[in-house]
Amino acid sequence: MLKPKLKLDEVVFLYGSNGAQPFVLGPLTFELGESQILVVLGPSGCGKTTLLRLISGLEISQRGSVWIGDRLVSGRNTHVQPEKRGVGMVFQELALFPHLNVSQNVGFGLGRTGAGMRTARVAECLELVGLGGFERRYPHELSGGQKQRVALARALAPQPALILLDEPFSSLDADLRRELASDIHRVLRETRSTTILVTHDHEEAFSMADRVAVLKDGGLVQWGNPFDVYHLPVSRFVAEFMGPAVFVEGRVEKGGIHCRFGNFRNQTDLPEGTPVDVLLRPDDVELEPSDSGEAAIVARKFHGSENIYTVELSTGERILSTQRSHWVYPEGERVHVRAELEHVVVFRREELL
Amino acid sequence: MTRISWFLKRIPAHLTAFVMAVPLLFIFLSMCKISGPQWTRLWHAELPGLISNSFLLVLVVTFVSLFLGSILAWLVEKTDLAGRAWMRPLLAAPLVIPCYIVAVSYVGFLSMNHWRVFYGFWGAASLLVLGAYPYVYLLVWASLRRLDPALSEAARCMGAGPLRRMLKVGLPLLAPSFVAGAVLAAIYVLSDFGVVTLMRYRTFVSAIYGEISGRYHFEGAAGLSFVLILFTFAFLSVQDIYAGRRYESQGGVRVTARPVSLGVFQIPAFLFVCAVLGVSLVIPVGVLVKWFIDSLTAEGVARLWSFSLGEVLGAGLKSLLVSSFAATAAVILALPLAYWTVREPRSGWGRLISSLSQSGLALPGVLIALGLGLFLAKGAPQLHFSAVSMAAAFLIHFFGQAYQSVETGLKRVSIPLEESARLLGLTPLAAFWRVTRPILRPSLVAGWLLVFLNSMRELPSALILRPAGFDTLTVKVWTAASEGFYAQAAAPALALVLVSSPLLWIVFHEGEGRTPAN
Amino acid sequence: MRKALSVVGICAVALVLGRASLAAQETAQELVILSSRKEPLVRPVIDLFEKETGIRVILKTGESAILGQQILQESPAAAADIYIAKESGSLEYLRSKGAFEPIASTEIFVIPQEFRSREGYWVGVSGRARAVIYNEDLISYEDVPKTLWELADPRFKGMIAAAHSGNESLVAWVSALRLSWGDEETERFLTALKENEIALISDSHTDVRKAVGRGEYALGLINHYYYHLQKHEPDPETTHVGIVYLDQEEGERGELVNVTGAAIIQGAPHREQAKRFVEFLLSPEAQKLFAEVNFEYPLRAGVETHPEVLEAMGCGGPSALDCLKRMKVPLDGLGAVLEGTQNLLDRVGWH
Repeated sequence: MLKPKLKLDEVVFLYGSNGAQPFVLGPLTFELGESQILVVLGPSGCGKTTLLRLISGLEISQRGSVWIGDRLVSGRNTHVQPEKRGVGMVFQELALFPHLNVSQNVGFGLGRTGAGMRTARVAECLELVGLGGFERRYPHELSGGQKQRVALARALAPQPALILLDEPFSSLDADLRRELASDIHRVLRETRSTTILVTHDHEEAFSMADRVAVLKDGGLVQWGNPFDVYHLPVSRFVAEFMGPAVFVEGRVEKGGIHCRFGNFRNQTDLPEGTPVDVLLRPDDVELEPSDSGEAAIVARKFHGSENIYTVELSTGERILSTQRSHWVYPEGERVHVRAELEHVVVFRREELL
Repeated sequence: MTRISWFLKRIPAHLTAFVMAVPLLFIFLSMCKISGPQWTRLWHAELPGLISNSFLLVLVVTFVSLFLGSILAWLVEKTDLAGRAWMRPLLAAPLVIPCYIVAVSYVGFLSMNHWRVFYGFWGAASLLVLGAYPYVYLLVWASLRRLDPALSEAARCMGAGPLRRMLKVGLPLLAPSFVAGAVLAAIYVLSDFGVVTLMRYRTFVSAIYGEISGRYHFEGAAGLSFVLILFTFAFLSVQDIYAGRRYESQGGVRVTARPVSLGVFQIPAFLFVCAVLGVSLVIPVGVLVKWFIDSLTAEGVARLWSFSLGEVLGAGLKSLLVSSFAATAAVILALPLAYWTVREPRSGWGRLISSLSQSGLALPGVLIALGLGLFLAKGAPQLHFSAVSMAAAFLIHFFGQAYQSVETGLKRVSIPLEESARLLGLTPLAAFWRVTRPILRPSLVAGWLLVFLNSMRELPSALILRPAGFDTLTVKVWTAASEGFYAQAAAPALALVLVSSPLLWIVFHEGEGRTPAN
Repeated sequence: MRKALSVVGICAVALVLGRASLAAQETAQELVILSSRKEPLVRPVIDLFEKETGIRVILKTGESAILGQQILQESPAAAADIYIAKESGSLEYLRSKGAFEPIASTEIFVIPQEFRSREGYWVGVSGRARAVIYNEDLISYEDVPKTLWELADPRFKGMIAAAHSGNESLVAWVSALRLSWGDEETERFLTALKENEIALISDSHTDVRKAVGRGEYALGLINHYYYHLQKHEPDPETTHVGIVYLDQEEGERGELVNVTGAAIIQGAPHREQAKRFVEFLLSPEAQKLFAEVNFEYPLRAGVETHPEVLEAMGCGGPSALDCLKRMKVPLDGLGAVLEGTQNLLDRVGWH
């Protein structure tokens, strides 16, 4: 890879209030290339925001080092202050300056430039986020989505080395979210920004990420591109986090992995006889309506281009299946279930405990 | 806005303004009785000098108090100063001790050590600073506490160093509290009588009191008070103009800011705060305690002037009750008025009504009591000379402080917040009770406290309007101190301090309600 | 919720208290007294009265002007019965406004005529004289002026403290000077004192005596009892003071003796009890008690003055009035000239 824009090496951060269990973030090690977008995923409390604060310099790590480009910004004897790191950050609560108008907010980081250049750059950034002409408005006059865009424009204006976004869509409704997400993605691509976006929503990861990092309880569980993380999760947690997942019992046999849906390629090195759980994604499950089918459809959720069916097997287990929405299988219809696994993902059953 | 809420705001507000304006009416009517030659007598050569004396005092004291109060608030709230937890409430403690008592204790302190007493301008100014800075401190502290640290962090990420952050983010956001604190301090200095008299520095107010003592017609005093009122209105409108901007709350502070490290300045800062506490609190209270101990072994004449424990407790109870009543009424009445002016900032009539309601701040307590007394004597003699009339006088005098606090707090509650509560099916009152009130609580508490503490310390209204046999603590203090029996006055003075102190704790722990999320 | 309850609770209690204090004024066997003399000084006689008669007394103290206002405002429906005034001046003023009833008792004749209203509207109870207090460390007895006009001597420039025109006693004294010397001489005198840099430090003689005690000034113009109060100060460093009564020689005018007096308010609800109280004040026992608590002179002939007072005057006793040369000014004439005196003081700049 070309020289990375951001590099973390064994970064550890400890925090906790007096007497309570200390929470450990890390050790984290990863690299991010120029113009890449990293999405950090994880449930609340896993340390995602802290990670951003460490990279921006607002928190000081106890161990490890951080490089931005060629520069060591955090290390044993070094801690470069946030104001000198050139890292732009969009906070979850946005933190727009209420006493300044949009133009003054966006231009805040351009302190050193001349007035003329500053006005031009502010206009440019506002155009970029689709808010041209909003210069004189005040934050309390803006809608939620507009405030987000201003916050982004403000972070981008000084042309930082790195942009950090902390759950930028958490306070918006679904439609606005999608619209804003695609706009932000476009802006980040246009400006070739190296970005870290933190979220708990895997959809955002899919739409924007070049790389995904899944965090749990302060540890990095999986790192990779979105495809790999979705189709080849390294743990049950990641599998469940990245999308709807159902596990069926299976067993490692001589010929492969055997489960009720048949035999599948064994891509693991687990010994024969090991009980396992096989991951089934809804898109792996095919349905055939049949009167002699051993399963029945018990629920259907409409998702625009697809339907997600909940199917109950004769054992009482329920699995999910995605079908194109041209056909609608009514509830109660008996079906025959087939699994077509491109990627066989299994986990030892002991892991469940 | 519904019909009901329209009335709910305006009716109580107008009623409040009417009550508050009674002393003004009295002053106005009295002024009309002043004849031409009387006016000339009033405005003879001495007055310009007194006016400039007053203003010099106001200017110097306000400026120093602003500086002192702000620095102290910043030190105990935003830095890692050692001991800041106990410093916080103590720095506001001077509000608990009547400034007159502080002055007396200082004169006593200096003379018992055989040092010269610094009468005149500097003596008066120093003592008034001790009494005024807590107003600035309290308001700035409350603002700092609610300041969203994310704003400062955002500024840092955009390359702003500490100085730029302070100038571009910190100070502008704190500006409304600076102005409000400065206005309260200025009004306090302008209307002080006890300290300037003891320090033998004649101000405008001295002339007003000169018109009252020894005379039986108060028209002259009323006429001079009119000038005082004009100036106070001027101050209040300055504040109005400045504080017009609204900074909406962004829905709670998520992360508490890391305190600024003082580094090498730790020791000087610590010493500085201790010095302020020493001068404003330790010395006066220490002197009072010494005097109290002396009074226990007093003999002869002094014995006569001592108060028994029962007397002090009884007076304490009376002070407590009347002051609580006044404070509670003040906060309750401040709400509809604040709702009106904050939610409809363009209403000129609303602003006028609010200024009228705050006019009590401008008047010397004695005139409020006299005005109210005259009104009651003619209109409602049953209520005259009762605990209720006393409380009413306190209410009129200090309403402005409760209002300022509630108004500032209400500005931080965004309309969408209340509207969403309404949409969820809550009536206006329920929306207020469940949604707004918790956010407003620090301001409500601060307002209540200011009125309560000032009422506890207030003397003229208590002296004039109290019913026979109803002496409060300040009356007891006055009884002994005005005849020079300071040791004997120490007991009720200390009782005053003791009764009021626990409330300070409440204010400061009230503000620490939110725990930071991790 | 708790807060709301406590609010309601506080309101209720306050209203009850308010009502109670109003209701208190309604019962029969009691007396309501307004007093500009401080409570610790009237308590002893009141307690004695309550013990001997069983009549309950309710007391309110305050400043003369304010209490006077209260009396005038309530008139003719008085809520209080007796007014005890620190100075006869305010008694005269209120009398002129018709605020008092004549005291229907012959007991008042035990008080010399100059110390009561000739028409019987008020009566003096104890007396005090003008005097000069001096700091013994700063000036010796021999050097202290012995007449009023000596105070204007340049050698005392800036050494004298006095009360300003907010003080009733001082105003009464200047009124007396006007009646005794005439307006012109009085004005010249006051102006001379001002030119001699007399320090008008306060409206209270307490501050004057304390200032002299601390050595800030060598001389102070006071009412005599302030000297005795200063002698009883806890800090021994401040008790090096002496007292001089001016104008006591043959042919000289003497010092003004003013009185603390009492009157019955017009329309008093408990007239009988009020009369009894006034008579009680004039009894020998009460006279002695009333006067000695503040080192003042009893006015009834033959009643003993406090021994310390006698000693300071060099008087054999029993009454200080026997030894003191008094200014021949009828006290009930002071009220009428009050306004003129205030104007004079304003003209001279006596603030």
